[in-house]
Amino acid sequence: MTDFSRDDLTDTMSSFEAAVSAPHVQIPAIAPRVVLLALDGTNQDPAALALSVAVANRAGAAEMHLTYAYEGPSEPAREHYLAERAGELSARAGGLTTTHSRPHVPAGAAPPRSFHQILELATQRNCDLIVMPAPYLDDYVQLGTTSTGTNLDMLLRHRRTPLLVVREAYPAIERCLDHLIVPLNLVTKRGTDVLAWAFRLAVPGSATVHLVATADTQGIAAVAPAAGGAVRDHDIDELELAGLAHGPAAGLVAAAQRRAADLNVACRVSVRTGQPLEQLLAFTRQQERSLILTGCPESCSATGYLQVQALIRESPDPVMVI
Amino acid sequence: MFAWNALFAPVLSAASAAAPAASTPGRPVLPMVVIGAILVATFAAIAFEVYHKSLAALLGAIVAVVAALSLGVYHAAPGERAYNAVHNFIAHDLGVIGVIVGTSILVEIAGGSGLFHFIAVRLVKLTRGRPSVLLPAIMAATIGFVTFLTIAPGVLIMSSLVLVITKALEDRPTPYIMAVAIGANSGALMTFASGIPTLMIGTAARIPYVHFLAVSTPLALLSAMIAFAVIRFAYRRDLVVTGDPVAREAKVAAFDEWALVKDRSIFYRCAAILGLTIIGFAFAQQLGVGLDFIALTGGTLALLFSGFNVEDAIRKVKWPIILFFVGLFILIGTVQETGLLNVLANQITAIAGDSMFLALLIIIPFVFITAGIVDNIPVAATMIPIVRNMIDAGFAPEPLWWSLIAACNLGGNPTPVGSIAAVIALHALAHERGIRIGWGEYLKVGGLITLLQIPLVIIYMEFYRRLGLFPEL
Repeated sequence: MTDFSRDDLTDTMSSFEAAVSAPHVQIPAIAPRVVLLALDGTNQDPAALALSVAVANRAGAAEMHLTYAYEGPSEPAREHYLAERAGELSARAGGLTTTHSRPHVPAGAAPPRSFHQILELATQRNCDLIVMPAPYLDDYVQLGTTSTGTNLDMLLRHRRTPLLVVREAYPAIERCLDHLIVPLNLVTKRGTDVLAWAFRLAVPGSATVHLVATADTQGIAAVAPAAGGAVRDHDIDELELAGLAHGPAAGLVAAAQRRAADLNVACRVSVRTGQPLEQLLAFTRQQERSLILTGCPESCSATGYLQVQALIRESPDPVMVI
Repeated sequence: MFAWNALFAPVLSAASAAAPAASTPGRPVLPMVVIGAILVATFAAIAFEVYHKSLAALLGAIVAVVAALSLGVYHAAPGERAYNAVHNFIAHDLGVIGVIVGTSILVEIAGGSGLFHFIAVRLVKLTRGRPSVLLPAIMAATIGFVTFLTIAPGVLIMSSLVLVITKALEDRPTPYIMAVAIGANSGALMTFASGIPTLMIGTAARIPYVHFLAVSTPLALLSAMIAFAVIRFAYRRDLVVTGDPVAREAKVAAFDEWALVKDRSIFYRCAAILGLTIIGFAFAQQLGVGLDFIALTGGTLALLFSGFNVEDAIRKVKWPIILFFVGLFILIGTVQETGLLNVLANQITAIAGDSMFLALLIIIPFVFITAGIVDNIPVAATMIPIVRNMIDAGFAPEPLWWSLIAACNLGGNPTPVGSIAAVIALHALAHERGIRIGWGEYLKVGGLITLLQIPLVIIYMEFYRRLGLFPEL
């Protein structure tokens, strides 16, 4: 109150730097029309169905299409399963038009791989969002692999539309839409599109859009000795390191807060310190249920792409990749 | 006590021999000299930054307590230890510490929402970057923020704002930083809880919050006008538009205040709690509670409803300043026990006779000068018992207490170390832009402002006294 620290000064300076240097960006208006839900026959399907309906309704989509992609010729049991789920979807779809089908396979031709079927169907029906279940398994995470399974890997690589991956099948999964988490470190060039989806899904008065920025101090600490110095706490400007003091992240925060004010949606910026993915997952654990929305580079060798892959693999909460 | 006396016996006997005969009936001179010297040494250590001021105050307190125990200064009630006096000193001023802790938490949480920063940038945008409007806007905003957020957070926000926008506009930051450093001291006069000396004196004098609106607020605005006029004149060559005015306006218009907003909902909640706390301050007397209770309630409500991490918010309380106060209260309490402050009060009373005007002529310039050299908080702490003694001697309390409030706050203006506002603003300028304002430059502006503010305060107090405008305490 009558004293100050250098940290206080640095934080305040960084805040104002953000105001001065934030580029003026606009969040585009999006109007998703068709949602494609690709079932996989596992016990994830009911949760994926529930979340797809909630997402489609909140996004104002008009149509929801259901499919069950599997390799090999048509099997009556699987067709029956798809029809049953379609019936379930119709019962809870509200104003949505619901359809279901399998991709058309020309007679005599070898059935394509599952991910090809999904991508093909998404193109045929002009889908704006693909929803797909992918079981969350602790032991799978512990394998340390970067893969999330062939189909999901390939969908992530070749998709042309946003992809919503449903992980742990917890009850009342649609409540995850109350906490929409946007990791600012991962949104890359798709930041405004990510925010467009976040605000499209946020219900005024009940949902909160969390913008999470992480200052990777561990990375700095690791390289500091090589640079001939140690890092002291007061040398670290969290806002600066988290990217909030300058450039795109500052512009995104400004755009998000402006949109939040217009829509009367709660929007909170949280700055954390440490390894970005760990911090993001720790943050999501603090919320009861949440949906993570992120951008993803197109190149599968880009660091950001690998981070998104790791996020999908390690997150028990659903992840939407824009 | 015996052990202490035994330990210090050789020193004390030598000092007693050298000391003159007691000049105050019933009070030995030696403790006054020894503990008075400790006080002066502590203040010098604070003024010249020999040690961190918290450490200096605690060290001074420890040495003073040891000396007081050795010299038998503390008067113990039957069945009590003499040392209990130390606890009584702290207990006496616990209210001030409570207000500081409560408001620190509240302001920290409210500030964390980023909306005060939002308001500041929006204000700058309204000026369109024109220096003729920007300078008064910066000063007005400083006073506004200090009034409601207290001096350190208000000055931090405004100093940072000035440094960032002047860099963006390629302006010289010095005039604006001076406006922040000096305007803040006027802001500290505005209400009971705006500045620490105000809080300390207001608590000691039991001044109701609403009295500040009648006495202190108009004086704060008048003193700010003087400061503004001097700064405007002194830096007139720097306050001109550099470069293309249209491009400058466009640059200011492009500042995006929304980039600063961390959480609107927290801001609204904290603004409501801050508003309720200020109302609570105004009605504390009628409610039968102290300001510390109101401040701590406000801080607790902010912790409860903000969604902030409780430990993070509590960690942000400025504990060094709390320790500074603990040390200072013990030191001043001990000095008071020796009777030294009575002697000083008697000297002033003897010179002033029964003339209040003469008393004001002594106290106001004295406090202005000492606050400018040392730090206005220890000066306030020292002067409170002196003024109390003068009131006991028959002086009317109102002009003395209000003069002390005005002089302690505005007394920080002449030098770069006189107030926390100047320390923060000048540190920010040097650290972020590499510009150092020396004692000479600061004295030229701050000193001139002080030379004009001293007569202003004297005339203002005399005017209020003669017209009977002081609300009765």
